[in-house]
Amino acid sequence: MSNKVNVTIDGKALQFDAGTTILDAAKTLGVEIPTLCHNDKLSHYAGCWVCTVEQKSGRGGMVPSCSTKLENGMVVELENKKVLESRKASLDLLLSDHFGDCYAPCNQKGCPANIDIQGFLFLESRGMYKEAANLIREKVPFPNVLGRVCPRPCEEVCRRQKVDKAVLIGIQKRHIAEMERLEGGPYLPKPPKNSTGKKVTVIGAGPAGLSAAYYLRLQGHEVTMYERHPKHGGMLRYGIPYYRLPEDVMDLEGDAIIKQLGVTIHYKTEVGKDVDFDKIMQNSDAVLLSVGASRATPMGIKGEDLPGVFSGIDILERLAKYETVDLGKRVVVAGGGSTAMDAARAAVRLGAKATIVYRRSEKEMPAHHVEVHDARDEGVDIQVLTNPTKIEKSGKGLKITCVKMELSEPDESGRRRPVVVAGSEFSIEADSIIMAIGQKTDFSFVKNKAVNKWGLFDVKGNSYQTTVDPKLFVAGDCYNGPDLAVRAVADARKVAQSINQFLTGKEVVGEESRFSSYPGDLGTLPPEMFAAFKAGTRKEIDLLPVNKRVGNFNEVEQKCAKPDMTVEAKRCLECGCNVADICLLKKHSQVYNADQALFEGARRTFKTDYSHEKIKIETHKCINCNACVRACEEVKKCNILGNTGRGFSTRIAPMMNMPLSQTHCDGCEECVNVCPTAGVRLNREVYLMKVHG
Amino acid sequence: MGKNNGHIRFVVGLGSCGIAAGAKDLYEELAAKMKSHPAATLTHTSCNGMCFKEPILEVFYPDGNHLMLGNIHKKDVDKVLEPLLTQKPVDEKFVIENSLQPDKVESFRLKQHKIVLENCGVIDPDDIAPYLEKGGYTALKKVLTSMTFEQVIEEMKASGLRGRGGAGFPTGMKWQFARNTQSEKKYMICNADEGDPGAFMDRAVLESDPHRVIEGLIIGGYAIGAHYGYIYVRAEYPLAIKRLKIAITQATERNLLGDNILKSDFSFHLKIKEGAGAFVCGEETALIASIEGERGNPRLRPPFPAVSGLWKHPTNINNVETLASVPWIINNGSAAYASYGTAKSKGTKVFSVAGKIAKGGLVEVDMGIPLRDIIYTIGGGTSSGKPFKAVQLGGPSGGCIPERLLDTPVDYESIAATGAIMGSGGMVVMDADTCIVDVAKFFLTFTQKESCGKCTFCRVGTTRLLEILERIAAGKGVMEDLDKLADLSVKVKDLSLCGLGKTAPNPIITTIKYFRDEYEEHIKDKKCRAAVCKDLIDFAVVEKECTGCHACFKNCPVKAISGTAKAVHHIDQKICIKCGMCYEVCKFNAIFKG
Repeated sequence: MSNKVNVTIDGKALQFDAGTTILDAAKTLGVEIPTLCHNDKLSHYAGCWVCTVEQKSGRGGMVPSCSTKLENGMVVELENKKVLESRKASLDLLLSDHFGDCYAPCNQKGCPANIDIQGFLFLESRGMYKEAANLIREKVPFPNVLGRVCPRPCEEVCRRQKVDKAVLIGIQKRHIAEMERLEGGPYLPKPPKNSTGKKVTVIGAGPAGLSAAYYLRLQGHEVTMYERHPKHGGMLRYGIPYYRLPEDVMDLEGDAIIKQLGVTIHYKTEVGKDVDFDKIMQNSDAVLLSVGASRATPMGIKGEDLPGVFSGIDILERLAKYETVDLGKRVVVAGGGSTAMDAARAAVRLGAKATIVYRRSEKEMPAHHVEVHDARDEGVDIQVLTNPTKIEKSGKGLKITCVKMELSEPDESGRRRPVVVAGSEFSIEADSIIMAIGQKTDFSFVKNKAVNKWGLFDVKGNSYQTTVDPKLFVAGDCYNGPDLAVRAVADARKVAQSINQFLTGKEVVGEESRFSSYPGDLGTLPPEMFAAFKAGTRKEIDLLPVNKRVGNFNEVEQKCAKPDMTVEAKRCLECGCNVADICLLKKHSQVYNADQALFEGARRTFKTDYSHEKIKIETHKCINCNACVRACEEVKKCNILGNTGRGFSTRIAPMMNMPLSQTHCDGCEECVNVCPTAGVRLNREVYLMKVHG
Repeated sequence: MGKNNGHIRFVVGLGSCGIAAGAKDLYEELAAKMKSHPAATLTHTSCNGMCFKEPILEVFYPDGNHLMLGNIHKKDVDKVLEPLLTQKPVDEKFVIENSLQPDKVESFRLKQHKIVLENCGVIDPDDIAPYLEKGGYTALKKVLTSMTFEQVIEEMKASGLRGRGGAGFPTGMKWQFARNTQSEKKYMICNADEGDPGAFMDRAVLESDPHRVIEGLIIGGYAIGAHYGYIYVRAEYPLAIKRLKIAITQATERNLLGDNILKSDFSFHLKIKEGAGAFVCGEETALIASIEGERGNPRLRPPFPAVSGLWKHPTNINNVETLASVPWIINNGSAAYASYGTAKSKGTKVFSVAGKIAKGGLVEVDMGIPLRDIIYTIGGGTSSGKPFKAVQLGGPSGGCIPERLLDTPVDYESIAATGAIMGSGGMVVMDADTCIVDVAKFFLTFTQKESCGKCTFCRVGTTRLLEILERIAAGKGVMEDLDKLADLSVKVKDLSLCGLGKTAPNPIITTIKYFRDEYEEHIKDKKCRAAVCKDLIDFAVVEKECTGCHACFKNCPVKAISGTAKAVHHIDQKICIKCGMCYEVCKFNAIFKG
């Protein structure tokens, strides 16, 4: 009897030893077939069907390659369309019944830059500040700056809110960076010794430009920056007053990027005026536009050009440059964004009484609610549903006439459109009026490069590569319009990926999208998820007393006390999966572009068995591949794990449904070693010791 | 059984179905009342297949005359006993057949041809003697004394018998495979884990003629070279288990089981294994796992049980009906068997006809008979008199066959061509009051719950299919759901490990194929034409019919109905939970449903 079989795989006639599975045969051919339930150490199971291939001979059909043995004359296709669709369908179905977060919600849904918050809090709680800072820098190169200015969308999705209050996250970045500073930091990673020789010019040294320079340097490219201001920082420095971001902090982190990473920067050099844009294009392998959106948008009302009427962004810039600004005693600010809030709060600090007029309601304000709250605390009078219609001279001062508004149905931006309330006209006397209703980008310096009807560039997909010139890229506010600094930074990290792809001759697609399982928004989560956590208190950061904020630009948020911050870091519920980096379900879902939301319907719920000191069972993440059951039975010969229930309710459980700690489990880890996801995992401490030593 | 010894012999059918209908009470009443009649004896048999006539009493007179009475209960005994004992006419409403009235024929019995069921409802299943009198165990004797195992297998091959469990694999070939595998130990298993909703063929055979199955099993053991056998029977069949146990004891006492059967070299030991109720254990690899004491999860084939089965020994598994056919084939010859049926489907097939059928019961017909004959000639059409809509063949694994395909002959290939499967023989009849989406939902609810949970597409896929059906039934479906159903159905079929998952989408696929318009009505018009889907119907009082009898008012569980006696009533739609109670209790057709 021959012990070889002749088969046809993907059209090729091949010979294998009898008894070889299709999976093993594919391996020898260099074809990687995804598997979940299969493990070489264990008996065949054929449960997950992710390893499906198509058998075109005999009974034929879709077969699990892990346990189908080659037979003489067998014809197999390893990766045809039907096979790939089947694998995706299997993953779609498994994900539809997988209750877990690969990444914590703060990371995947809250932070625009996807900072590993859970990770840095963990390191911080163990006093590993340098490591924590560099974990932040993997996504954002300014932990200290963003720790102060970011409005913390992360905290809004923090699940700790289901226990007591959100973890204090934003401020921790500042604390980590300050602790690193005490240790002599910031310690940025070092760029490669050898340059790629590729020259990238970055126009604008704001948050986007500096961040792009950071990531481009770490990829070994040479970076030259042009900045029209005498210092770097862009809107961070010239748009955010020092009471929110002290200049030494900006100096520290901006300088670190430029000096530690070796970036050439030309200050006080305005492209289009001091240096020609076309020449830059000629002399660079790639050019990034990161000039922000710093030109105030006029409102178009009468009297806007009168003396005593300023733009908010100009006032903030002048204050940042320590220029003398005299606003008088009565200041009216028009607008509802961050610039309006900061202009009003700056006016208060200069001794004025400030009034904000905004045409929509407070809910529609673009400024973060914390900023609105702080402005109000400082005595700013905020008049919503109030729209200026004209500005006139009035004695020595000015008079701004407004009408009251009411909200009608939502417009295309989704915000309810304000309409004038008839006969509601009134006026406010003011010494100066600050217009802060919007900002845009002045792209006049690019001359012949087309900008679209909104005055911005069109880009290809998620690549940030402009459609007008493949070597021209765009990021930050000059791409998005005025937005959060953290979003500009996230853009910059992604554009650096694109530029790197462009410079290395790869397809320019930007940063790879990242698969993450998600169990649902706060309101949809079951209470048992939070049952193990005791309610406590959130340590709020001390603020400079309101009466001490006038006459100075001292930072409002006070120093963080180290013990408080350590306690805060430990409040993290650690929603993100501990083994996401080795999870096969996640890996395949990423590759096959699986869709967790394709099938809506019933889903398993949160259920854990954390009774055992070493082995943790997370039934809500289990995909019923039974690898743990087989490992326990076949490798360890123990039979501790088994199945309960039937159909959709089938679950893995320790024998007799007992807590694992009450079985004779000795923590041999055989089950953990074969689990393709986090159904059975090690206690985190044990896991980290194993992975990181 | 034919001998009366001068007595009038009363025989009550005591199958599970008869007992459920009151046959045991009837039997006990008769026993009590007949004590004083030395000329009469009372015995029992099991099920003759006429479920719609249960309880059934047969009376055999010494003069050879015979009466079959149906729908006769304990309360009727006083009325009929005296005339029966004195051979005087009884109330015609009870009479199914009377040898004195040869013209009076129950149409249910027409077109039937009993091979497997030949003793059912005829002999006393608790006694081996009547079975022996009917030629029982002569096939075993013939095999052991005059046939080699090759000859037995050849005879089975020549008969054309195919597995009656549903898949229709040729029995002779299956035995050949098991015979071909060399092993010190082999097993012969009877699969009596009948689990399809609406199927009761195997139960009836086991309860009515257990020895026949045992005889077939022993012959199979001889053919493949197995000395050990199991009957895997679901624990929900206590009467079948009880009668099998009695039969095994009796057969063992007579050396028909055990060592050196009938003084031959062949030994065969038989055990009963009771299944714990998992539907999937009817799948042969799951059944094997269950006997081994493992969770009843199927595994990938190959290897087939014929190569590696119970405790890794070569194992052959046959269904009850398959094995019950074996003694007849051996006794009468393969040619006789093969003369019935069609070119590819030989012999007879037993069906359990249930649902909205006038005459539900167990029928055995030649393969190839048109479905129409079973539904109309034998079954008498729908029980409601409303138009026939469809028949579900093959249980939850099968499919719905519409009216226009009723001339399809019942054979494996023709049925498969409709998208249904022959299956084990469950036949559920539906009339115009049946909602087709509801039918698909019903079967998917069953298969989804009964999935062992091992493979992704069966565990999660069937659930997703069911959820889409539920959405459609609730009037929340969108047209894309139909594509999603169709696409996922194919994937669940293609990408499931065992027969359960591979066939679970069949009810969806066939109902969409034949009744797509009804699905579309649910989705687009939010309408259920059969007025079954609760979210799509309302109940209302038809004012001109309402007599104000107050019956609906009294029966409404949520007090949604208002109205005083003799005045027109009213249903508050906000409170109504659409339970249909008012519709059921109204005697004046004054409740509108739709």
